Parts: sequence; structure tokens; C-alpha cells
Amino acid sequence: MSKSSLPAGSARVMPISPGVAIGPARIYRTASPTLVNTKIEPQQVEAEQQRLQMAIDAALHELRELHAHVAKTVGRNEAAIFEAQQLMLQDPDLLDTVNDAIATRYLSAAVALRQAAEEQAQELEALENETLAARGADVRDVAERVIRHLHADGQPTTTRVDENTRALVVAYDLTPSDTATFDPESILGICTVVGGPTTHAAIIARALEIPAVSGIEAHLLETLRDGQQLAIDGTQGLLYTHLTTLQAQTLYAEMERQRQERTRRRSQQETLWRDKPGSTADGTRIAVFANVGDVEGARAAAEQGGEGIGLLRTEFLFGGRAVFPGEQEQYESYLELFRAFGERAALGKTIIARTLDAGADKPFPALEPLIGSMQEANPALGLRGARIHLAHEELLRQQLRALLRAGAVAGIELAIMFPMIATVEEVRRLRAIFDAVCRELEQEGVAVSTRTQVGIMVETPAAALMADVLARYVDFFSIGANDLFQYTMAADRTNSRVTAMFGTLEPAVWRSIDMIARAGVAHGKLVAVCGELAADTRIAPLLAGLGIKELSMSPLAMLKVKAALHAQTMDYWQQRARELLKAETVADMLSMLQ
Amino acid sequence: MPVVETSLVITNKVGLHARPASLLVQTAAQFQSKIQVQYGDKSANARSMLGVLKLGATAGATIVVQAEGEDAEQAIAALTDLARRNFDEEE
Repeated sequence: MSKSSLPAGSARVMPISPGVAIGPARIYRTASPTLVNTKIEPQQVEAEQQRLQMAIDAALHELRELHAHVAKTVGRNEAAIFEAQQLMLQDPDLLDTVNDAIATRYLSAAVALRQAAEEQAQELEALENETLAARGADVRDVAERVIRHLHADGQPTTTRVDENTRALVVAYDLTPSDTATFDPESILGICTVVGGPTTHAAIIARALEIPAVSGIEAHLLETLRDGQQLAIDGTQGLLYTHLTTLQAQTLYAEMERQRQERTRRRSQQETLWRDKPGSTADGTRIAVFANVGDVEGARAAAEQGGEGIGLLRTEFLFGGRAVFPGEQEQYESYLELFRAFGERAALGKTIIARTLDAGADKPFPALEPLIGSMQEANPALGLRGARIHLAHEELLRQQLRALLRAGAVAGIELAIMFPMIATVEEVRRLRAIFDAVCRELEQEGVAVSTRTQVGIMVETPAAALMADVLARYVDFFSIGANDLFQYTMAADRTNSRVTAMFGTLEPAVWRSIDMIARAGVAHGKLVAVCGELAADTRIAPLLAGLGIKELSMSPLAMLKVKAALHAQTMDYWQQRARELLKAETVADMLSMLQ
Repeated sequence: MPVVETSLVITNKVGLHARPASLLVQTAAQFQSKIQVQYGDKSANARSMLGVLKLGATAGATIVVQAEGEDAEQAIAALTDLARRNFDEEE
């Protein structure tokens, strides 16, 4: 196309990621902090080197998080750069150079690191191979990440893109760290001064289907105002800075058409799985169930192709209530929810109701008049779940009666599950109460299904260790992955000061799940997993590989998990799951999950 | 100290770029041996990510890997296996 045929008010730029975008501009300014203290005193050498190591450790931690985040939201291949960046920060040659500069030239850690990284970046950029040369930007990116930590606040000196307004980002350059924190929903398009089609920012833009161009004039960063209307065509490589009303209308219409096209394409993939049960590529069935906490969720579970409800949190009835609901009110609420699912579900009608899991991080004001104050020094280790049932049997009987009565008339297959089990005695006592309630209801003429299964949540290390014995006393296990993690790692999952120290999955937790799965398989009992792990598309198939037969998750995650399960055969998932058992550290696990 | 050396051909599509280099460095780090990678007139410590990237080994390149230490044999075997697996690239 010759210059004269360009649309009015537009300029030719480099196409990076296809599609049209129009909207307000957001100027994204990144500035490296100016280093004030460039020198240290000779007696500070050791302390400065320690400070450097701490900053590097903090940066490595962030990179591990970023890696996991991008792997989940964009893809494993796109996330790989954050692993490469971690290795750059652990490079012995680089670290020697920096420590040496601190020790012999008395440079501050930040100055020494910036100089050493700049040298490395320039050497990389001198390489003929374009992909390798582009890694120069990564060396600078990691060095600046460490420098931010050396400057104590750890905050990037960047004007953040306002996450709530949909806008076109205009930047000099975008590092992988920048793009990783973007919310794809709020970014209409990306325009940069530098950056070719092989940069990671470009790859991520394409993966997220965000239109992008590069090669825009550098002065635009100064002359464009925030909020000024801007448009790009990432397919043809056009930048519009002055739009006529007619042009703007046409481009808005085109952007909308493309958006609908994307939505339609995505939903086609989804409908494919909505009507099908979960299975691996060789046809091994893995049931994909939903976690549900209210009537709305039950409806969504059925509409999103849930094969059952794997975790019905009955707390929905009790939370925030001033007065504890009686049997009849509970019955009516359960019935409404059971029907909301049963009438719509096409792939299965099982509903696993967890009896009230009160205590710990779930406060229940209505319970206090009945069982006393729930103010405990250590609520996660206190009176919660089944422990309340056994201390106040009448409450459990009431709930079981309401559940079983509703189950008998709702046209669903009800199963009962008890939370927070630690001992065999607890299970024996709970089953005895369950049997007594069933007999009582039969005498009253209620048609309780004789096939009602009774299972337990396995979420304490005690239950995991006793799984081979507990399996004799129950019909199924459901692994509560979140609590199992918290109790296994002795890390409060609501305490951000400790949660950040661990990965999504730790080797100890994986081994524990393996042990529980084996116990279930050995006794012919179904083992399910509910919790965030089951919704992680990298991990869910590997849970199947350990012998988990049912995965229960947020209704919105079910379709993508079905698609992930079907990507490989059961043999493959088994092999990968076993490899993961050999992991020594969370870093091993992450690299194996790639 | 045993010294083991082998030549490996980089057969994956883009050469020793970020991902394959990561795998090479991580594999080398599992062993006690000192491992050097040579390509043309350049040489790098196999534990140095930047060193390995700066070799500039592209597709079809032949690199020479030398390990020195008690587990040199195993280290070379693991790295050979990695190269044969095409650095686990899907293609």
C-alpha cells in the first residue's frame, strides 16, 4: 500500500496482533528509579551483599507467582519467560560480577546490578539471532525488578493503567512483567514505540487476542493526552490519532463485530463440552461436578453441564441469619435448590450435601445462642464441622431430616458428606446418627432412598493418614483441597503473610492426595476432590491421574476442565501424576507442570 | 575426577532460546560436576543462563558438552537425553 492510499488521519505502523481497537488512550509511563546512593563504605560490603540477596529472593518469589499466574490466565508457553528470568537472576556469573563490584569497587547493590545487567543485555542484543537478542530486554527487566526491592518499597515506579476503564495502552515498551499484570478485559489495544512481533508482549497480546501495533512515533508519548480518542488496526498496521466521526463509527462497529465473533468462537468450543461428560482422550470417564452455595449456583451448575453437585455448601441457609432455621424451613430451602438443579441437569442428578461446616473462617451468629460463643483463640483448630455435630447432635439430626426429606421428593440422588473428620470414632458416631434418622423417617412414612451414600471430607492430615481405615466406614471420600493444604502445611490460608510463602500445590499436599486416592481405590470407594486445585486446568487432569474419579469446582471452570482432561489419554495423565510425586520442591512441581 | 565429553546437535526449531536454555541449565544444576558448554569459539558454564543464551546456538548447531566430576557420566547422559527429546518442544 502506498502512503497516499492510507486512510485519512492514520499512520503506518508495525502490525503485532490482529484486530481493530478504538477508545480512550492511556499513556503508560515507566521510569527506572534514579539511583541516588551509588557508593557504599568499605565496612558495608557484607551488609550490602546480604541486602542484594534478599532483594533477589523477593524478586524470585514474584517471578514464581507471575509464572503461575500467566500459565493459568494465558498459557504455559507464554509463561516460560518468567522461568527463564528466574534463572537469569540465579546466574552464577552475573551474581559473581555484581558481588565483586560491591566488594572491590564499593558500588551500591543497585548500581552494581544495573551495570552488570546492562553489559549482559548489550552482549545478548549483539547476537544475530533475533529471538536470542530479544532476551536482552529480559535481563534489564529482572534487574529493575530487584532494584525496586532494593529501594525498599518494592513498588514499580509506573503510572498504573486504570483497571476499570477500557482503554488503549500507549507505551514506549512493555516488559513481560508489565503485560502479565494487565487485565485483558480492560485493555482494548496496545501501541508501543519499540518491540517487534517476537517479543513476549506481542506473544501475550496475540494469545489474549488483544489488537496491538508497534513502531509508533516516540513523541506521541508526550503529545497524546490521557483519554484522547485513538484507534489501531493490528491486522493492517495502522494508527489513527485524528478520527472523523464517520471513521470512528465504522471502527467502533468493526471492533464490536470482531468481539462478537470471538465470543461466538469461544462459546462454540464451550457448547461442545456443555453437553458431554468429562473424559480423557481414550474415553476414561472423569466426572466433572460443581461446587454450589445457593440456588443461583445450582442453576448455573446445571446450565454449565455439571454432572452433579460435588459440594453443596449448606451454610448458605445459615450464614448471616440472626435466628437458626428450623427443620421445615431448611426442608423448603433444600427442596428449592435440589429442584433448581434436578430440573435442568442433563448429565446426572447427584447432589452431595455437606452438613453444616460452621466454625473457623465461617462465622455463624445464629449458632451462638445454641452452642455458645464461637470466639476461640484458634478457630481453625477449634470446634468446627463434625465436631459441632457431635457436641450438639440435635442440630445434625434436624439438618439430616430436612435434607433426606427434600431428597426423597426432589427427583435427585442425594448423598451426605460430613466435614472436618479426624478420627474413625467420629465417622462411626456420625453414621449411627445418620442410620437412626433414616429409620425414624421410614417409620414416619418418608421414602428415604436406600441408596443414599454417606461420605466424608478428607481435609485433615489425621484423616489422610487414616484413609485406608476410614475407607471401610464410608461410601466415598471428598478431598477438601483448601483445608488439606492449610492443615498439612500448618499455614493459615487467610493469612497473606504466610500464604505467599507456599505454592498453589506443595509436594507434601500432592503426596497426601496420592495416599488418600490409593486408599479409596484399594477399597473400591470413589475419591473426589473439591477446592481450587480441581479448577486448575494444569492440575485437574493430574488429579485424575492419581485415581480421582470426580472433580468438583466452580461452575464456571467446568467447561475448561473438561477440555483440559480430554487433551491426553489416562495413561499419560497417570505417568505425569507419578512424575509429580518425585518433586522435592514447589519449584520442581512448577517446572513439571509446564 | 572423571571427565566425560559429548557433542550434541540442537535439532529443535529455534535453537537454544529461553525455554530450551532453561531446561539445559536446570538439568545441569542437578549434578555436582562442573559442566561447560562450547559452541564455536564460545564457551559457557552450563549453570549460567546468560552464558548459555550468549552462545547464540541456533537450530542445527553442534554444541560440545564437557562434564568433570563424580557424576559426570550421569550428567552427560541426562543432557544427551534432553537434546534427543528436542528439549520437549512440541513440533
